[in-house]
Amino acid sequence: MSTATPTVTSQKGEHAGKYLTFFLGTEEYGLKILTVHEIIGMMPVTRVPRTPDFILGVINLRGKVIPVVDLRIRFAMEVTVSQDVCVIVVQVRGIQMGIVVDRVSEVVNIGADDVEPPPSFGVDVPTDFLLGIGKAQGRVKLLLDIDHVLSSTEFAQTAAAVVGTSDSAPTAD
Amino acid sequence: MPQPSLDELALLLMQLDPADEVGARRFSEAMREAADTSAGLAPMSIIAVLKCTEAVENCAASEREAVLVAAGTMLEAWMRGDALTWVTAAPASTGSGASAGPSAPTPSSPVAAKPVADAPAAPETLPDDVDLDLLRDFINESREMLAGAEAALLQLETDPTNDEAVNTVFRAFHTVKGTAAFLGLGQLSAFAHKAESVLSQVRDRVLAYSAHTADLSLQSADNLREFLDAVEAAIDGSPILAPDGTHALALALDEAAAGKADEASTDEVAPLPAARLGDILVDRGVVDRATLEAVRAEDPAMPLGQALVQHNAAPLKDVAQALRQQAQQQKQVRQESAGAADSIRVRTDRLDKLIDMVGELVIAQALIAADGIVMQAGHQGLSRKVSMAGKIVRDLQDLSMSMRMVPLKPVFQKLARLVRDLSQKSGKTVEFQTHGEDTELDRNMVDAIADPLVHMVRNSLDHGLEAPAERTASGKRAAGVLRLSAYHAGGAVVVELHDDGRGLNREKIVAKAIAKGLIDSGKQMSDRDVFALIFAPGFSTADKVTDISGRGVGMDVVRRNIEGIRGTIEISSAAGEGTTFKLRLPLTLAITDGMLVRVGSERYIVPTTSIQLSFRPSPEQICTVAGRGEMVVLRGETLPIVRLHRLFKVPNARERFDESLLMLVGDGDKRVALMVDDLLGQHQVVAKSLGEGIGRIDGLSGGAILGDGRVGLIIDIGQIVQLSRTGSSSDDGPRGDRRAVA
Repeated sequence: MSTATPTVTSQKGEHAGKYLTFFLGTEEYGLKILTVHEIIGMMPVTRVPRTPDFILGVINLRGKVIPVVDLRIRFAMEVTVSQDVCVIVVQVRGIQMGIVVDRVSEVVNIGADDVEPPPSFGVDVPTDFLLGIGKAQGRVKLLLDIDHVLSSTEFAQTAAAVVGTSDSAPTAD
Repeated sequence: MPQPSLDELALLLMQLDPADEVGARRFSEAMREAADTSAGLAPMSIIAVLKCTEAVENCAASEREAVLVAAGTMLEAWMRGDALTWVTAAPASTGSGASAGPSAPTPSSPVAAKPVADAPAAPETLPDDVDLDLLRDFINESREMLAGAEAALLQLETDPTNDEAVNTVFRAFHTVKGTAAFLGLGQLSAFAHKAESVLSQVRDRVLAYSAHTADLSLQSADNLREFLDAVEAAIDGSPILAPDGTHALALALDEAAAGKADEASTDEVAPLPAARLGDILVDRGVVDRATLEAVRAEDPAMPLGQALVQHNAAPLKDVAQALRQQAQQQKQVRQESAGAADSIRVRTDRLDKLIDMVGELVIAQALIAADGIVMQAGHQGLSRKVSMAGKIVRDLQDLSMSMRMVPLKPVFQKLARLVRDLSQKSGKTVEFQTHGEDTELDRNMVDAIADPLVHMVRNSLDHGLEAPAERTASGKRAAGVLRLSAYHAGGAVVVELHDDGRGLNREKIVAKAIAKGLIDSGKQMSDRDVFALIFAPGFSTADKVTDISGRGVGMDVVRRNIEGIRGTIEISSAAGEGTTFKLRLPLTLAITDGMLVRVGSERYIVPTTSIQLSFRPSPEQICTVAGRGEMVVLRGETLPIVRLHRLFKVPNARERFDESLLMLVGDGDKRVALMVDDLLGQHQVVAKSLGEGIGRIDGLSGGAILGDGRVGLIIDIGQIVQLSRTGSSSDDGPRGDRRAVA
């Protein structure tokens, strides 16, 4: 996805719409509302060996086994323990997956004019998992390209490269 | 009267039997009405519709099939909103039976029904607008019907006068024909028609059910099935390739049907098994059969009722009454066949979901039952209600599990057919006995054992059973016995295949195994171990253990398949008395018998079938290689130790051998001793995938919901063995544990 090229204006409108926003640490992220399946409280996670660190493990979602990823580990952010931690279950291309977030915030409507392409910080800060940067109520929301985030977790090999960057991240065990 | 919608018209057309004069008229009336009331139909299109209705009403019964197919094509164009033309180049044809009488009738309709059988037809493709869902349903249903037809045909082998069986076969061919025509599959429909014609004559006792007819019908069923495969393959738009031999078979069918065509008094395209107009009239004493035949011969193109009235052979009133009676009977027959369908189709994913949810309900119920308040004394009322609900939930679970279960019957029937064909080919007489064909297995399991059983039956026939001469020479009955039985035993289903042939030849197997380098000598081997050699990969090749040449069937494939569904296979054999293969299969693929083990704070499930024993090793049993590779000596055998906690990087696991347990897992030379902290007990778990999002994880076959609602991971022993040998170098040992532990 050519998200880093600000010249593409035709893309602008396509990211407008309703987003579910949530907090990872102090940053507020947005998920397209249509990809969100449900929000559930944190539940016991079974660690799955031989997977990258950011895959916390699997949970029992009413009889279905679905994996849960921790985006804070994925993005090499600090993991804090909070009371409001919950799991957003997303469904992308028929695949269900849980995402651990620090706190669910709200549903906002982001207009086409309020979406900007993601900035480029060079190699150190990967921004290819962002659809863009949205602005609503004077605050900045990082709009996640969940498809991109998750597709890289499907292949443990691809994702294994990430493991090296998240050395000190603890697990949920 | 409300305007009949095009869908209704299509429905009418689909149900319409070519010989059903009344129905045809009703259809054409409905069509005319639709044309009258339909807005925006171009004048040319209206003319086309009128032409079509005219053709439907006025053509001979034998040609109506083709006309109806053309009508279907037009109807589809109508639905699309295209301009309509009455295309007369109908893809289907009849060309057998009554129309092949002494004076071939000239088509009275604009439809030039050119018999397809005269030349191999060019490959056709699926119609562009075909409803793929409908098509898939058609393929599935047809396959089932053909399977039923085949079973009935085999019944006819022993009882050629079984009318019910003939009817079953006839109905199957007829339905395939009708639906194929509706879907625009002209070739398929035409072929089915030929197959049906022969059967209809058998049914009307015009043709005797001879060995030749039996062969033809069985071949037709096969051919139709191949045709269905071809249609399925053509879903992507490629041309439908008629199976090889269709043309030859079609000609043979024509010959068989025409062989007695002069005796075939009335229209050969018999409708559903209701009495025909002529029969009704004869029964009522309105006309006698001779008159009837005369009228029919004179005017073969005209509907029988009309012809009779015109020739003053029968009063109009009686003919009309007879027609009504016929229509009523047909309706009844239709209702009966609808009533006979005491099952409905449910998509498997829905069923699986239901089973999942019920499993979830069981866990939820268990959580409630274990709740502190319920357990407290002084709440008898509550606890009684909870336990009652629990009972219902358990019943519900049993029921939901049973919904995936299907009887083995279809598989056994398929094999009966195979035995029949093979025995004919090889010149051996075989008596095929089946027992317990109503034994039920999970649907997936039934599918999974079908192919291995075919291999095994073929093998038994080729190599187990002797030729009749050889049998009589050794004092046996000339007919060999092949017995297939299924029964429940100890929570598993056992499928046994027994032949009373010559038995396995121990010496030859040993000699061959030595030649292949599989063993050094067979001296110390038990019979069982020797027989098990035939499952070794690469053992079965062109030069056979037994002398008769034949197909090199890889028994190793059979064993792999059976083990793939967590079954086992055993052989017992006695020289001169026969061989028995015993398949032991779990009742369902979904439920795994597992041993719950603890490693550190984590729990894993090890399939019980993989565990041979578990023990706490004494220090003198342990030895190391190069200071690292650990081995355990058990009864003189050394086995590598796999520390599960290292392989899976489980924190806080017991490291010392005197605190943990070793489980002897795997089989053959792939055995290892798996080190775990503790055994937590045996559980039956429902295996689930870990979700597509996570992909396949080496060493794990899936997950299962445990009694407390958490997910437990199921260990794949085969992969663990593999991992411990190869991919573990970078992961092995505590130094590989990059994961910081919270």
